[in-house]
Amino acid sequence: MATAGKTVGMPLGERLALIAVILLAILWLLPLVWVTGVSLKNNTELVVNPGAVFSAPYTIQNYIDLTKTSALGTWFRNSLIVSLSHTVLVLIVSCLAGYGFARIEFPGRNAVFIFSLVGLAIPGQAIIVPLHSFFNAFDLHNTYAALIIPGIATPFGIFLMTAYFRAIPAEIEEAARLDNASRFKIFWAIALPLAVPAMATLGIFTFLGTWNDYLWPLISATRPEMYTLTVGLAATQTNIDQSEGLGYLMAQSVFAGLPMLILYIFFQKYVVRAVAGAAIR
Amino acid sequence: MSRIDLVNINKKFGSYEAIADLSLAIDSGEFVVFLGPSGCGKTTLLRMIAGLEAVTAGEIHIGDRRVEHLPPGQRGVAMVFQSYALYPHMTVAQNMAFGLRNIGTEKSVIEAKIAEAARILQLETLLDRKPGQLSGGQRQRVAIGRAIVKSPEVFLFDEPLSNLDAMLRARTRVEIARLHQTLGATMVFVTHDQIEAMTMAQKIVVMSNGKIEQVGAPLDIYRRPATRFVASFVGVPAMNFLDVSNTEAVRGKLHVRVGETMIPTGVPAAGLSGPLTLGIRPEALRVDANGTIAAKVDVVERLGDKTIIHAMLPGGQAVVGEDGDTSALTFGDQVRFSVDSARTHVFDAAGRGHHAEVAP
Repeated sequence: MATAGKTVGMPLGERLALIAVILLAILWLLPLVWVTGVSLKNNTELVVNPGAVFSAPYTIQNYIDLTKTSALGTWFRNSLIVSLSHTVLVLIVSCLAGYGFARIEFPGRNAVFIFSLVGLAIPGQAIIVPLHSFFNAFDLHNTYAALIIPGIATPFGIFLMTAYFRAIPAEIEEAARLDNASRFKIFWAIALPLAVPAMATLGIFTFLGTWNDYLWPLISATRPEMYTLTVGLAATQTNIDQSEGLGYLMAQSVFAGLPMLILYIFFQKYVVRAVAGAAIR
Repeated sequence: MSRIDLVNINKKFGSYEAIADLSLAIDSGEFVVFLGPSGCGKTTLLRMIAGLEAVTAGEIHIGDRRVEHLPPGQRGVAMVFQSYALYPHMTVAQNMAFGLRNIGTEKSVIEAKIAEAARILQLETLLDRKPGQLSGGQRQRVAIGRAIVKSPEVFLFDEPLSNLDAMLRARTRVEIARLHQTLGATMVFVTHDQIEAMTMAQKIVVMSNGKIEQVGAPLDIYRRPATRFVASFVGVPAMNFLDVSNTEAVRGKLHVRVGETMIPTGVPAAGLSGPLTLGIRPEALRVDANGTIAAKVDVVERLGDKTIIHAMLPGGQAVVGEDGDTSALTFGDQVRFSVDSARTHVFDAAGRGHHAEVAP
């Protein structure tokens, strides 16, 4: 009723835009609905009639079967460890570097800042080979370190946090200096709490990116027990005989996507703000 | 509370000299206002006292200590910023406690100080709110409270009333003046608003282009401006400046010709020569049917208790005078002004002020 009330008196242009947005949202949701629907169907039935996804009966057998596959749990744990650790490290590096570039004057500051941003123009794929050689030289492949460390100094993160710290009024920090706060105390007790919206944005995007990352884990983790979810699921789905069935594969995908869904539900405000470009303000 | 001594202070930003060889003494417990237009260096000077801006040369003494090399937190000063600069993520109480926690003050002492400041500033009911939940006036009081709890030797105010509306500004002016009487602390207040300066200060420091133009009590500054700049900057409406074409000495006093009119002044004639400018404040230029200066009314401002008359002299020079509250003058009327010679000023070619001997 409230929504209906809001549309009353809405200009025609806005109504058309609203309808278009709703249609686009449905279009975007369709694959998700399809995957979820398939995951709730009996595998035998799907082989006979793939269109059966929109009609009963439904079953949660595929999800019950998931719990019996030990590898999925390992891959999930690996993804969680890698994504969380990587996100925390990206936040630490980005916040420290961003605050330094924004607030501490040192010789060559602008040159170093620009140099660090040059990384934005270098595609990740271009450094895969040297990255592989580097970790190979230290014999770190098939370890968490190899999955976590690459990319913790992200140019985007440094840029975002620098811009955000610069936007915090200098007078607030000056007041803290008059309040006898040390440089670290100002960073920790004043600047960092004020930068939570930007940190949330960066954290969410970093977590999503790491969780969904496929290329580097595929190259670095060659032993199944070190697979992340993306690599593990891909390995399962490229199994030619599809012995476990389509419904089971889709149940794996839904399971793998659950953390993302939960993350979005809890941090929706920051995700939307980030997409709208408001985190900089 | 402590005295402040600024000795030969110099401040350069690159090649630009913002403050040039400035010396000033502020007595303990004094309320001093730095007054001047934007860019005159008053805020830079305040920030140097606070330690937020380094001095290029010179000494700053607060009490018995030389402080120009000390960080802001160790100078014994507290500052109230124009934008209040409250910590947005902290409550009012946390804002006030932050500085005390940083120097390891005991919790019970912090609580007592906050309670006392809250009582003085009527913030008791707002202690658990965050700055975003407060009005401009309340934020201003919290900023002052944050300064009070530190019991500083010196309070510094950087245009703290600029963001308030006219009514609140007038009220806060009174509150700050009352606070000074209550605390008896040394206070330095920066403003470009001469009404704030006149109403609050015990001593005004008028600045222009990084230099002190005049230091004095508010009425001294108003009645005996040292320079033409001070005379023009202090007083609303501003002082009238009329070009003098000729002078005569009559019984030791200077009479000056402005256009076709000879105007007697109370300024001693001795030693005055060269190009001169006559200065008359609007209240010394009264509408008078028998007055010596003829003009044509341009704009009439009725303020309730008096009427401000803007008029044009025959030579095209604009003057501002006063009439009573019931003035019937309107645009285009011919008017005559009389000059109160005891309240006239003459400025020489260097801009130095010379005043009637007995200014009321």
